Amino acid sequence: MIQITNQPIDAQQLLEAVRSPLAGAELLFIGTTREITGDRRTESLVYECYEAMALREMEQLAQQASQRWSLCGCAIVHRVGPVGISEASVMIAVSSPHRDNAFAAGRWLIDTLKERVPIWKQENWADGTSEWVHPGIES
Amino acid sequence: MPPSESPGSTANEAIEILFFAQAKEFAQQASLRLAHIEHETVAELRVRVRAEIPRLETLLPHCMFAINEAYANEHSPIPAGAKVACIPPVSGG
Repeated sequence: MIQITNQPIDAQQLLEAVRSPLAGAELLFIGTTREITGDRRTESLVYECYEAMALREMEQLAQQASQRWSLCGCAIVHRVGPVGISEASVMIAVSSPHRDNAFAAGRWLIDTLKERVPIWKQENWADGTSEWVHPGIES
Repeated sequence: MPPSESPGSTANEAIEILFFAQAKEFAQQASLRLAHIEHETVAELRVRVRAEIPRLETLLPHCMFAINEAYANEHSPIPAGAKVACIPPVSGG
């Protein structure tokens, strides 16, 4: 299950997608939109993506993780468009025979997604300003 | 035929460059069509994009390029008809 959606993400769907009789561990990571960053308050977040390429990259991440950690299942769903405070912007679910591989794969998947997948967020700050988040670039 | 296409280049050969996030805002457009140049690399295309859209000058060095939905390196040749993307540092998750 690899998806990009402009609707709220349903955790249950991801868990069902990775369910397997071979699994002894299911792990679900939920990335949520943070209201307070340092001393600034976020009013809302908007995500934009290059959908065709983002889906391809997410498929590749799932395949790589599945091979490297012998996963039973792997699901990645990212939300785009406006996302309210404390709502999920991304969910990753993995299942594996034992928990160590599930934790390792989940960690690698979210870290690598944030490095590679062409998705961007725009912070709309409570002070009325807004900015695209481009790590490594001074805005 | 858009003015940026040189005589002899057909619509099929033209390349399209997509812009996202801050790059789209700076460029004030979501995409740009340019004539295909035989053996042109990503590094060479960067120079052409900067000349076409000077507002991208500060951001372009930070951007990756993708060719037909896959990351490319600076030496990658741009095929005719390619869909190229200018990808500023990503911030999903």
